[in-house]
Amino acid sequence: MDSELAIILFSAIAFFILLGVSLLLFVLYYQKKHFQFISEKDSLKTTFQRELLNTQLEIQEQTLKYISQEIHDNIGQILSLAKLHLATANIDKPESLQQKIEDSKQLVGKAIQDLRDLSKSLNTDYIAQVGFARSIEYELEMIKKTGSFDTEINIEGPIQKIESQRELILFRIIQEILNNIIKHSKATLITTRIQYLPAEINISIKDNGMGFNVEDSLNTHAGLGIKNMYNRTSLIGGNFQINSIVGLGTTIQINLPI
Amino acid sequence: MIKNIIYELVLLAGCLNGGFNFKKLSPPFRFLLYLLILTFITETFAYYAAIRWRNNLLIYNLYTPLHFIIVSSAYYRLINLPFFKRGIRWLCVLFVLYSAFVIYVNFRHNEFPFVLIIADSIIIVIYSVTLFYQMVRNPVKKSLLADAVFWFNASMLIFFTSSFMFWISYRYLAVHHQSLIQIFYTFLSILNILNYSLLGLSLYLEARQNNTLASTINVN
Repeated sequence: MDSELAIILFSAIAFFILLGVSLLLFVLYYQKKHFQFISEKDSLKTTFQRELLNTQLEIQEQTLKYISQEIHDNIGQILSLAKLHLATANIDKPESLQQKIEDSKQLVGKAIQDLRDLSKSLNTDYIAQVGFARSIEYELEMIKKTGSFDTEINIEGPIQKIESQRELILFRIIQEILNNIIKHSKATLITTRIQYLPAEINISIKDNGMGFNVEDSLNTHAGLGIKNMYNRTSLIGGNFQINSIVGLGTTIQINLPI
Repeated sequence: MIKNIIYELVLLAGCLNGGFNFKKLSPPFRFLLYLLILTFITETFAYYAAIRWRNNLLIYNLYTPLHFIIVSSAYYRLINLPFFKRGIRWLCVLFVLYSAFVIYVNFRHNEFPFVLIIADSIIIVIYSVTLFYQMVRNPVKKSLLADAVFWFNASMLIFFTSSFMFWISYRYLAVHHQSLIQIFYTFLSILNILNYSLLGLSLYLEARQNNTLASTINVN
């Protein structure tokens, strides 16, 4: 009887020791996984920050290139023309002189306006101030002003704020898409749709240009731009999709969780 | 007597702490608070019934299925495995049906709900092990010792494993080792107090954690 009692007591003690050890093992194993998780998370965060910095530098570089190109191709040309007008103005012919001064004034005025537009379009504070949707509207207005394109924009749903860093990157991606349309598409109409949903924003930019073969272009230098846009959209947590049909145009869709 | 007072005080402290912080508690911990309130009322009433009528068996017969449903509801919200959630829903239905039958039989024979408590304990231990498995697979950033879910689950595992072992061997011990029953019962009662203390602690940690989160959001 005593031995049975001893067995019961021993079993009970063994049971509690086993339970305790199991819990201890769980805690130790959990702590190991916990530290692993934290270090992975930190490493992901560092990688993300590094990539974000790289993207910001890339965008900065691209912006500088864009400024240089705008100054050289547009404002520079206008001012050269104004200079030419003034250089060829003949003081002895008052009628022609008057005309040339008028033309030069107009050209200088246009250069000033272009510089203002350029400054607004590149100013980060301005984008943050007026908001993402209004900035896109403004970009499209500028494109329409050139007279080579017709533009349409539809904004659906209540406008929501996107975190400023992501908003800026998204805006620069859209600027790049619009620039590509202007430079390469030979389109006459650009249709943009911005749809605000409770948890995401969907953007679609469609042109009626000549379209291109996406797969082929990915293997060329032109594909680098597409890959860059794709990577940047992924970086801010979004999804980038491009559909193009040769002869019919291109549609680019960006979905971004808010 | 002292043991009972301590037990009631622990339950009352848990209820008051949870009640004052009700809005800060997430749904599973609100169920935990309901459990503490139910246990406090049941134990008080059972104590009164024992003095007044010398019989409180019906109270425990009714308490066990309610206990099971509340604990299952808490685990239902803590466990994310879809098939397991479906299982919990089915187990609740089956347990209620089984309880109705057992209570009917026990009421006629004036019996303690051994089988219900044993079934309740086994299932809670399974919930607990499953939740630990889920926790290991998805570790969170905060420390384990500051995690309300860990304390809740650990106390459930310890108490209900012990409870299962005790009640399953009860009849054998009652026949062969009467002296051990009292020792084991005292031990189980102490574990019960510890269990509810840990549950109270987990309520406190949960409320504090959500309070910190709210402050952080306000600061930002």
